[in-house]
Amino acid sequence: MTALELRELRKTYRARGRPPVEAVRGIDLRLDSGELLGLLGPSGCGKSTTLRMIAGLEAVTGGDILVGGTSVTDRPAQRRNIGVAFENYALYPPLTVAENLAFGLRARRGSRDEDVSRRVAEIAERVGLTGILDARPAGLSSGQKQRVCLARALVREPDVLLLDEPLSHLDAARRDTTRRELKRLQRDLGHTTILVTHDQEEALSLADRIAVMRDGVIQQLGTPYEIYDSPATAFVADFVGEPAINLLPGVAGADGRARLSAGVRIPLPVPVPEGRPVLVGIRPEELGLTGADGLPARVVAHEPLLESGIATLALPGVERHLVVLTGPEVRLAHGEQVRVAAGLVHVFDAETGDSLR
Amino acid sequence: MKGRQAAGVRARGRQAAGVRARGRLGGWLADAALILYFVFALFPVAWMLILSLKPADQLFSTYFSFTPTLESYRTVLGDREGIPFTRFFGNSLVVSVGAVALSLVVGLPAAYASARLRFKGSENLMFTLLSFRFAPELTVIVPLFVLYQKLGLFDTYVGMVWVLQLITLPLVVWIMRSYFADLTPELEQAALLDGYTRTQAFFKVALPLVKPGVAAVSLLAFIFAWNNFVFPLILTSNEAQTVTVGALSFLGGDRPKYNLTAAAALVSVVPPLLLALTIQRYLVRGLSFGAVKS
Repeated sequence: MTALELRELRKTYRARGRPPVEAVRGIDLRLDSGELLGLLGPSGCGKSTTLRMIAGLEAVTGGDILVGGTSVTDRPAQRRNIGVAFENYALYPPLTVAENLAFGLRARRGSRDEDVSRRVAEIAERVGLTGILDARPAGLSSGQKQRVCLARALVREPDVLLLDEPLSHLDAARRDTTRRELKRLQRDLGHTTILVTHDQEEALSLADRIAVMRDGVIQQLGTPYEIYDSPATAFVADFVGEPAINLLPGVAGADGRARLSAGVRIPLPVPVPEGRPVLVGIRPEELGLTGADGLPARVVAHEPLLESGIATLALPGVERHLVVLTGPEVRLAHGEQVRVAAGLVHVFDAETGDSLR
Repeated sequence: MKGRQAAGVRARGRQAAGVRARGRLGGWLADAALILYFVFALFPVAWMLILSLKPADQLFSTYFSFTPTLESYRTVLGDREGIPFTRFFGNSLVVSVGAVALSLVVGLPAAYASARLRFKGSENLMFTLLSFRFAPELTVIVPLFVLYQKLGLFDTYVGMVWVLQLITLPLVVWIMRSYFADLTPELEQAALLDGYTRTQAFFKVALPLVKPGVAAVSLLAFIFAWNNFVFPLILTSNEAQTVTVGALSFLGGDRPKYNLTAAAALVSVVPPLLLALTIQRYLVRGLSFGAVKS
């Protein structure tokens, strides 16, 4: 298989009479052969544009794309050998599943019929389409369409596989099984893969490494654990993790604690110059209700969710509420006074959002 | 409680009966209106039919009893009276089919390009094409006449096909553009990734999917070309004259032969009518200008 490298990749859309839009602003990425990288970000962050540039469907404004060490930036899509599974599947409606798969193979000059049908049978077996080869796309469930779409991307044995929101059109139950299936297939076939998604669960469960994108820039690149345990920016911390991290504005004090309000101070993990405005980040699962010591708080709401619970607490004098993940046995009444203690605390610069480490 | 419920049911029953009665009355009114419109719309056609079946000496009788005869049709289709009607008919077929075919060859790729590719001046080009449709033909007919005389296009098939493009090409481009725009671009992009060229993607992926549109727009263009009157009136004299103008030839001479004109007009309705009936299913979709996705 093949490594993929992006160097300083840029895309600027220019339209007459309107200011240029910088969709992608200098992306550097290197995927090892067989690696699955998740490109995670909110809509409009430039992740799909990046994917389309790699595929050759969008002209590159600046930078370079290398597949297996060779630049493909100036090649048209049809000469890049990159497989894409589109978000909307884009199967050819008049053709059967088998014909859809064969369609791409026939594009090659001198492709022989028996080779084509052997390859189609092979991939159909692999992806589990053998039973529906004669069906037409209109008659398939969305899960089946998704698999056909994936099979079509794989059938030509592409150097790089790009998955654009592969699970977004599936219902919740189908999504879990398809995700596992996808993981198994990618491991088995060993394609270098980029997965574009706005769904953190999808990225966390499938990807070897995750690149979190925002406004056309990669904010952090790392393994799912690195992203979760030491987020590089407040945005990354906020985007990854469910329920979302608590980000509380405060000011660093002389005693190594951040002052959130007159009565609420939280110890900081790193020394921060006195008087600097910070954002204190504490994940809901890093907060616990304690008996005696800890910060006093009032219960605003408690949602018991069987295997866990989510408590919303108000700290005295602090505007933003604190979300705390509680155990299954906890019962809290509205207005009840509790004490809460924090485990791992992150601290970000209030202006730039960068992690202070 | 029970009493109130029963009253409610009764009230609902009355209401339902009222709605039904109103529905029935509305139905009758609608039927009456439709019949009225039907008579209004078809009366001229019926009049023509009667006229075409009348013998020449009873043409101007205003009562409806006459001895029906197919003599007018025999005269018209037999090229008698010195008027080569069958040739006019053939001419119409040649120039209409020619105009439609040429419009499709030029217009389908143009429509595809304007729907898919962003290029400089594409909107201006599309607007220019559309503008052919809002200028009355009469505004260009005199200069065209002079040009055609000079270029030797007067009274030729090539000249007629060429001028009918003004009508059929914008129709093809504009309608097909919306059909192509309705296709998701990923379909062709998938083909590009599979290794096909843009041209191959157009022929193998996009074109087969807009077949209903092509059928509809071909029919519409054919009808427009077939029914055109002004262009053949001014730009042909005999060799390339079409039925719309040819049917009027029977009115010339010392005595206007309305029965023959009526017969000729009715014969000339046949091809568009046959075509329309065969691809009626597509026609409705074509008239919605590609707005309805398949």
